[in-house]
Amino acid sequence: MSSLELRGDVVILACAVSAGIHGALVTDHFEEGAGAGLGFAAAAALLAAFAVALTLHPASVLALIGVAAVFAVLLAGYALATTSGLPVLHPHPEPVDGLALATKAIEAIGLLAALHALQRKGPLTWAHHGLRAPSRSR
Amino acid sequence: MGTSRASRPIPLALTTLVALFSALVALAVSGGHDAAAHGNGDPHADSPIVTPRVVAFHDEMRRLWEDHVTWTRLAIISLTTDAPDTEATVGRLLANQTDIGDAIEPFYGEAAGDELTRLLREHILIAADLIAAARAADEAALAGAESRWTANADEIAAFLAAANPRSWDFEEMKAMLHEHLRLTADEALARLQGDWAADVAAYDQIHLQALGMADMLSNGIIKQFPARFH
Repeated sequence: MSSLELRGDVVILACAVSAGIHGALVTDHFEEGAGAGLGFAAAAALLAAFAVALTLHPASVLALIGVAAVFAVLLAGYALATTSGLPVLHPHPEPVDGLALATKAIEAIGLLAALHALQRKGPLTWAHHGLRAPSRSR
Repeated sequence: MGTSRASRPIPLALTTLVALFSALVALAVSGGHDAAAHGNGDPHADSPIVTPRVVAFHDEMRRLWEDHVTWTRLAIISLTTDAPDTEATVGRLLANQTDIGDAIEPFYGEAAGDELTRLLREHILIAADLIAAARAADEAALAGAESRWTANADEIAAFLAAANPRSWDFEEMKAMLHEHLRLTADEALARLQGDWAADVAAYDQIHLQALGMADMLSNGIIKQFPARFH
C-alpha cells in the first residue's frame, strides 16, 4: 500500500468515526435545540455519504474536496462553539470535553490526509486505476 | 507491481463497523441518551446521569434557591420590624435574582437570563409591597399586590415553559410557583402576627419547596443540554 493509498484510508476511517460519533449524539443535541440537532444530523449524514463515496470512488476529487470542507467546517464550528458560540446552531459557548476533543483530533487528521491526497491527486488517481503515474522527467 | 490495489481501499462493511463502534463509544462516554428515563420502574427515572458537572450544577442551583428563601426570610424580618439592615438585606435578596438569571444565561442566552432576573426582581418587589400593605392594613393595596404577585408568578411559569417545554410544563410551573407564593405569604403573615412557631414551620416548608424548585430547574436544564454535562 502506498502512502497516498494510506492517506485515502485515513480519510475514510476519519469520516466513519466522526459520522458514528455525530450520529450517536443527534438525539442529545435535538434536546438542546432543533438547530444543534439538525447540525449534528447533517454532519453525520454528510460524513457517512463521503465515507461511502470515497470507498466506492477512492480517486474522486470532488469527494475529497467535500470531505475536507466538512472537516474544516466541523473544526471551525467546534472552536466557535467553545469560545464565542455559533450563531443559530449553538448561540452560547459550551465547555470543552474529552469526547469532542478526541473527535476533533480525528477530524484534523482526516482533514490533513484529505488535503495531502488532494495535493497528490494525479498519482492517487493513477494508482487506484492500477497504473503507475507518468514520470515528470520525461 | 505493488503500485496499486485492484480492490477498493477499505471494505464498506469495515467502514460501517468502524462507524457503529464509534457511535457505541460515544454513547458510552456520554452516558447514553435517556438511559435513566427509559429504566423499568425506576423511581429515579427522570434523574439525569450523574457526572461531576451534573453534581456541580445541581448543587449550585440548590445554593441559589436556598439563598433565595434565606434572604427572603431575612428581608421579611427586616421589613416587618423596620430594622436598620433593611436596605442591605433587600439589596442582597435582589442580587440573588441576578445570580439566578445568570445561572440560566449559558443555556438560554443573555436576553433570557436578563428576563428571568427582571421577573424575579418583580416577584421580590411585589412581596415587599404586600408586606407594607399588610402592615398598614390597607385591604385594597393588599388585594392589588396579591393580584400582581400571582400574575408575575404566571409570567415566570410561562417564561420557563417556553424555555424548556419538554421538562417544564406550564401548568406544573404555575402550580409550583403558586405554592411558593402561598408559603412565602404564610411566613410573612405568621411573622406579622407574632406566631413564631408558625413562622418557623413556614420557613421549614418553603426551604424544602425551594430545594424542589432548584432540582426541577437543574434537572430540566441537564436533560435539555445533556452534551454540556459530560
